[in-house]
Amino acid sequence: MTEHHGTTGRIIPVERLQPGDHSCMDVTDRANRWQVLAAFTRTGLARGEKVLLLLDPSDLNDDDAVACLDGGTGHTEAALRSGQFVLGRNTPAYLPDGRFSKERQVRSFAAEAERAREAGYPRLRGAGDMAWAPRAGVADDEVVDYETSLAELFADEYLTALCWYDRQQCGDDLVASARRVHPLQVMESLGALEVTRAPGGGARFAGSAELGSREEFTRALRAALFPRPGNIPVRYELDLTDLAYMEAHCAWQLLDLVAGLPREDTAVVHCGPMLETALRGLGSADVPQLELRAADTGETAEAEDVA
Amino acid sequence: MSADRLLELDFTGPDLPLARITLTATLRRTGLPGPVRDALAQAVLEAMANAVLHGGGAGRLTVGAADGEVRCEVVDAGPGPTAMVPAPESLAPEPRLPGARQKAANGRGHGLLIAEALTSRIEVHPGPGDRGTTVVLAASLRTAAPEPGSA
Repeated sequence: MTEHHGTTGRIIPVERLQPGDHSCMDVTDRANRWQVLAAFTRTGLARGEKVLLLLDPSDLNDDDAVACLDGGTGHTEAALRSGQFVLGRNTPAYLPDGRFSKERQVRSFAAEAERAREAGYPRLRGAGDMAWAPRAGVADDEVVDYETSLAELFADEYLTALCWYDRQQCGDDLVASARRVHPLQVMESLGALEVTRAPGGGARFAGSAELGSREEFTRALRAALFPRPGNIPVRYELDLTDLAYMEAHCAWQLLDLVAGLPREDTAVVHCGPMLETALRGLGSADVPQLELRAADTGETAEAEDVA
Repeated sequence: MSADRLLELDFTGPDLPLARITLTATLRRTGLPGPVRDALAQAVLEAMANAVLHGGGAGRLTVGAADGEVRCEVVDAGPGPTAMVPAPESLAPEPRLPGARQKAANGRGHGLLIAEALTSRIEVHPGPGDRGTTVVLAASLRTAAPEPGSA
């Protein structure tokens, strides 16, 4: 798999975050960021998890933030009342006495996780705006060191975290460092598509293939399945495991393109159970060139966590 | 009949990604088994995309639970159920799949095809006042997961 934009970790849509994941997000658009946070929060609450969100003091006020996250469902507002959802600000959380201490912060999050566990929540997910660091004059190296030191908190897969770095407030260097140190990078836009062409053929698709991205998906798919010269049978590898959703139209395009390959060729499609369902529902069994390999992406197992 | 309204959501095209998350989160709370929930979500999302494409660019999604069934209703204000047609020619592939060729011939579009394959009940009828289209998709809280491709 090729590296992408200097990121060493996997780029995934927010829907693919799993317990034990420590991720970052590069923010350039505030509206997009709120959509991702709404998805992060609504998904966590539906799974019965405790959700902690640390905003910058310059961000929306508490009422507007909760309304944005709630989207009229009533779930976030109810969770705020019950204590399942906690909204805080990054400055008092990271700089309680005006100074930053890596050791104190790690202890603080460990204690937060312990409190959530004792309260009976199956997991804790937290997201925070890292703009406090450059504002407080904390050096980039110190931030990177702190992010690295958090690894131990994720070992037991109780905690899921999303640290977002606003490019304008944090600067290009810190954003680049954050990408390198986090095992995962969450895509900034919901409904977007991220395509990485593999050097030997095939491609990895992450995000979602739906109305807003269907033409991009089809173009990328055509490029990935481009016929090779010569008479040797070709084996194409399509990694769709981080494609959180694929509409029927895109699934149809995939089946049709694979069905148009020479009969000796094979397209191996790696995907999660939801995509497998869509492809089988549209007749994947009728395409001999298609080899469907469904993996457990955690989509179904977490249904049992519903509170 | 006891009914529990779980979600009411107006949407347009740009709203679909977050609406998808909200729908999925809502269905997680119903107690539907994972595979059934995934199948129902996929089918409802197809109906929502159809509403945006062929139903005037917007729609309303309602999710409720009643009598052991989760019921999702997608209503649009478009020209009516005849708009449930295949995707535009520019995007629609030439069907090469043996089974799909016959399915595509019925002129109901890929989205509806998959919705029919994945849900235990689907109804398509004119909307309120004979305007627009109402699509109802339902899954029983008591049934097992559908077998994809068995339709």
